Amino acid sequence: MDRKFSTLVAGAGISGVRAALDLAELGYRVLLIDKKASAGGILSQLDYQFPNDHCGMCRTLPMIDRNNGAQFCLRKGIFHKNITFMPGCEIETVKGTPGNLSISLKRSPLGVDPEKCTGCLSCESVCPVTVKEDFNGNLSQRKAIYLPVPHNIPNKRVIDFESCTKCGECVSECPTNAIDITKDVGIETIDGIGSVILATGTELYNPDGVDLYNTSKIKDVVTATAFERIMSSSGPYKGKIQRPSDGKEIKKVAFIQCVGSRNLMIGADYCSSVCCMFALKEAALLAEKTKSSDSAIFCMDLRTFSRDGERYKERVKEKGVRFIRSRIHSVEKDDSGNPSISYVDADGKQKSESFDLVVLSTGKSQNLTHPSFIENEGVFGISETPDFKEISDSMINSSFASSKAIQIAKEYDYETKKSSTQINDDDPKLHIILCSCGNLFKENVDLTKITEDISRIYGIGITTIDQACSLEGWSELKSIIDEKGVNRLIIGACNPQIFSTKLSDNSLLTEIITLAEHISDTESVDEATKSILSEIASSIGRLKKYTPQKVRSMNISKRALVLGGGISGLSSAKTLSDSGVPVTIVEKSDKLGGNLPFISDETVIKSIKNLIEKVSSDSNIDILFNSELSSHKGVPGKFESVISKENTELIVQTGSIIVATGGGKASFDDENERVKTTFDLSIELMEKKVDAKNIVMMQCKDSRVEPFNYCSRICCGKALDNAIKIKEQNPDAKITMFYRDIMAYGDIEKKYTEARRRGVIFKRFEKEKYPEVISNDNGFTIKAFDFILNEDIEIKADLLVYSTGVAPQVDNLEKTLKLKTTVDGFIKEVDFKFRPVDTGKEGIFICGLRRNPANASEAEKEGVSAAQRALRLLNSEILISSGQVAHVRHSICSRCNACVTACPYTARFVSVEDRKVYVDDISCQGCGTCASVCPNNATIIEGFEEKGILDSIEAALG
Amino acid sequence: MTTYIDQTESYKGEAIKKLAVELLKNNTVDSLFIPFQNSYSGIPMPSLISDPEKTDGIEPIAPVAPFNSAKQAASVIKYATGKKTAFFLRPCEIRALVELVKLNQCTLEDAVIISYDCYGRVENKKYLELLSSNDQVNKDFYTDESLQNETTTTCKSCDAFTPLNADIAISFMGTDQSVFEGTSEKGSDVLSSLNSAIGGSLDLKSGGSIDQSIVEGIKEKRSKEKETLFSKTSETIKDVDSFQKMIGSCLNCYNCRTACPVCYCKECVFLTDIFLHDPDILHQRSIKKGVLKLPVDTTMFHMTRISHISHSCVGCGQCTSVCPSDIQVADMFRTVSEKTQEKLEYKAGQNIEQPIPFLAYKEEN
Repeated sequence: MDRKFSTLVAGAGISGVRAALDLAELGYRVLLIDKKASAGGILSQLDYQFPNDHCGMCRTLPMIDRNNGAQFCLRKGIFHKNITFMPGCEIETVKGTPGNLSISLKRSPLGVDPEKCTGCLSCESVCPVTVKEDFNGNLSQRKAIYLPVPHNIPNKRVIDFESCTKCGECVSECPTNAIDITKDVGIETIDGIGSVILATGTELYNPDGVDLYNTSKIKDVVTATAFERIMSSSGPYKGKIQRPSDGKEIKKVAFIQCVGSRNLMIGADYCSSVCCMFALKEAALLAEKTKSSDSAIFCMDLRTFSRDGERYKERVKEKGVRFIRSRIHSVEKDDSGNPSISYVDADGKQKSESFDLVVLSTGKSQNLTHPSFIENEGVFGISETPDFKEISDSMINSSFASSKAIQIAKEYDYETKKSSTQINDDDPKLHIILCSCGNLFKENVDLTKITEDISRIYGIGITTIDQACSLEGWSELKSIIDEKGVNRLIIGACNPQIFSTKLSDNSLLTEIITLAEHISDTESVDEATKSILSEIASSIGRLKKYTPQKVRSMNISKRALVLGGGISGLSSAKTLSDSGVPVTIVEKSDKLGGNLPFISDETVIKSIKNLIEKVSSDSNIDILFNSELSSHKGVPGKFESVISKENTELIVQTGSIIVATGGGKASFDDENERVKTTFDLSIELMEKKVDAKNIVMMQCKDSRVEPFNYCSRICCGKALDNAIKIKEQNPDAKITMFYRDIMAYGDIEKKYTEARRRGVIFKRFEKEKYPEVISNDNGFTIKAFDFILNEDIEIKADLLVYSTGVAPQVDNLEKTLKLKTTVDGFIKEVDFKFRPVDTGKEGIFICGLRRNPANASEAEKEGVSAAQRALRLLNSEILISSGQVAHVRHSICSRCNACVTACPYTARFVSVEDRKVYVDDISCQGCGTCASVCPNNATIIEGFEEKGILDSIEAALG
Repeated sequence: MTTYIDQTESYKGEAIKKLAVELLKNNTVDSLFIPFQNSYSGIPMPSLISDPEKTDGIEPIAPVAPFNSAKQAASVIKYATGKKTAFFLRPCEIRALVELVKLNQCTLEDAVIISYDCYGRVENKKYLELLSSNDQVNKDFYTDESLQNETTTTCKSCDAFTPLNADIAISFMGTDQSVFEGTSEKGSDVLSSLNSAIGGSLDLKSGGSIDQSIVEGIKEKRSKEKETLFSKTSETIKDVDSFQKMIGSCLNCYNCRTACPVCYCKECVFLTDIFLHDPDILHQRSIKKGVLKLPVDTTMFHMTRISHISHSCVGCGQCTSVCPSDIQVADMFRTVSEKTQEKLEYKAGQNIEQPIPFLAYKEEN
């Protein structure tokens, strides 16, 4: 039986890619499928992400043993030796048991053989069918045979059989016979799969047909995804920010929030979680790109519940973007043809305003469920229901799922395939092969001059092949390589992608030149010839002097240090131990569980207690109570930490460190027993009834304002729980909740709905005007401004409950471990979206409250995710560095330490013993920043030795 | 800040020498780093002196500098050893030392820096010539204007001649006395502990005045010289062709880089294998151009040096002094550096707290 793939990952969006990479990085082979013709999911359409308004998707790629996969823009496609991607596939059924699942796939034909397609476009030019291009939010058009993602590599065409008329024009036009329109949808069964990860994501709500938004009549009402495409340089207007109806430049945009979400009428009793941040980001980008400042976001609440979201919102506000609390009445065209929004504002007044464009913040589509096979053993979903998630949440949840898949792969002994890098250190034997592409290049380039010049100046042979992409051409090429004993090759052809996959053999160093580009970029045969000559010369310079990359290896300490025995620390330790990695937990107090005493949800309490039980009885886990990390040194794979425990010090050697020291309730002090915090009340409510009649809950106490200008994420949910519980106990209790934005993200929205249904009164206040509390003998009087009545009000209360937020632990770890923190003291991950649990230092990971506010189950998942990242290091006995790393030539190094400051991966350090600068091979990504600041080449990057590069530059200069 | 005056000597060199010797005698410092006339060099060489009995040859302000001694100074204080050393340096040498501190080449922890108003230096060859006809040239230089006219082009156009970043500054200009000033806490402490150790015998006391208008006058004159020089030089390096003409006779001896006090690399990149060309590269270049001038890479060398250290150039002029082909390297360097430093809002050797721009690397940049 074929047991090639340990795991099948369904869905090649960012979640699926993360899960696939998790497994692939451990050496397991993964079958990645997507029902679409290309990978990348929704992110392939998005150019920019919060918080830095860049993309950064590539940061997901492996940073250890990175020679295994292609290291370039992940939006162009995923290329990893251990990942096989099958587009156009959906799971029909899953049968069998974990370790031996039999999966039948519905495979839709793509119509074009990717092996043969050269991306020459002749098919597109003859295709008579034109349809709207959904990739660009239907704002542009494409043919029935098309490139699903314009920036995909390789640029293979596919056929959209839904619109294809099967006229056959393209079949006869294709020069390589790559097109076949006769195939039907087929069913394929794959056996011996260990487990399945379901990462199929969700579908976006379709606002067409909803009268309110008028999309059918007004062209200038678009979805948020379409607007993202409008702003993209690869979008329908090539980056020119213009509106669809008349091409007018877009300056003033209205964003309408909660389109298809938080709407009981359509059964959407949920918040889609990401749309508020999405709208903020788009508003910020627009303001930035067009220097405009009059856009507005129409919302109920602005849910900026991620750690840095509040400050981001304020930055967007400073750019002039308005936030209008409102209910939308209608969208119509005004007299000058602009879309105009009629709405009811916070005061209850009806208003209207015209914009250049209206953007609908569409959330997830309602009533989606997972397919029934999710119930099968060995099938793991990224989320409980098809869900729309913020990227970092997706990453964490994916790694949570992949950790389960890895358990199965391990248990059923799936083969792991690690990199093996061949080294070619023979003397260079260079040859150049130029493909004349039929007659194309013969006409446009002076091939004779190229051959003569190269042999005159460089003494290197050139062979011209008629059609290197054809089978005959390919075998001619192969025989030249064999005959001449060539080990370094320069190929000039129309589409180099054809060769890059075929020539992945490491013993042949290859440089590929795209001849077509030189022809299209120049105006005459002479110019094209000169331009090609210069690139060939440049490649000769590089290849001649290229020193094959050496691979270093290092034995690792197969143990992990987990700092903190709270929820995230426990889940980390458990995951690591289950994967066979011994763990040392360092806990400051004398017990495990962290914030367990402040959790009121019975199921959560039970699961944490269960986790404590498992960890305590695990012989693979050492727990050091009453202890702390006091100092630390070493490199990833070999850290040495000094732990102080009750006046003694012990040294622990570990390959990796997980920071899970957590945090807790923000400090709050009020002696009045009728004043409580939301957290304390939730614990009290587990035991007894609350006898108060008039209860006032005040959100965001000392929170979301300086100096604690972040949302604590969990208080609104807890306050809603409390309110519902009190109402259950005493339906007559009068509860008023003062809030700024109810952060009821995801399904917490249901609690918000429930609380309102039970008669809890919600009153909003502005950041600048925290309600005033006057305490008296009978209780309190709360003075506030009522937006609906438009006047000051007074509310009496006999119980006052404050939501005081959470704060990170003060443990000085940022100094001991040299980690970065946010202004609020949370330890900062290296990339908020794409590498949420990686610190800037390889081998050290961060999870739980020490990183960001999170509820117990979020913290637990973060813990697993951090462990998952650590396993990349700890899973093997030795660490193999990538060939291309920097190293220091100590004999000429002046130790000015410029490189240490400059290294973006903190891969360099000065040894205390000999004051020399050293490079940690594993952390080094070969980026070359160090070499660029080093004045005398005491730092060099392997494979980029200056000699070859200088020769190459010289050659290029002519 | 305490001011002391030493009135006992008319030749300022003697006053400084006296201070140096007393510092050593009274163990205020462990050693002196100071120009010293030994028996085998005609020019006083920077020397590290630890024996108070062997101080006769000290020549603190001879109008010559065999080289800018910052690199030598740095080698003594590469890291803290606990040996306190008094460094007697020219202002341009201090500036270079400050740059070397920032480049992590040394630490000032054990250093006391003593400096003085600099009248400039004459070229080494000139100095030996002057010395052969006048054995009092060291002393006479400070009173004889015709001797002062013999100083280098760089010195004549240097307007940064007063001690900056010294611990003890000694003023000659605008006063008949020698005004010793503790310009840092460290310097003041050294002066007062020395004075009490020798029972006030240096006749140091508070007070002293300097006629600033005289100092300003000199500064103005030199600034004008500088301006003229820079505008003339700008013309000679206005484009690549003129630049190549200027350095046309460069023989790649790398003297300028050896003499440069801020060229801190242990081994210059131009001496590494990168620039050791295989013959086939030379032939390729020749075939392409028809004529290939040798040695190659001279333009590249000077350009590289400009890009590597123009932000740290302290304008000491030593590069010109050592050039066997009489290339005015310093004029070119000083002209470019002033612009570079202006752009980077940085002044070499000035503020020890301000990092060198390229070391203050931020990811955002």
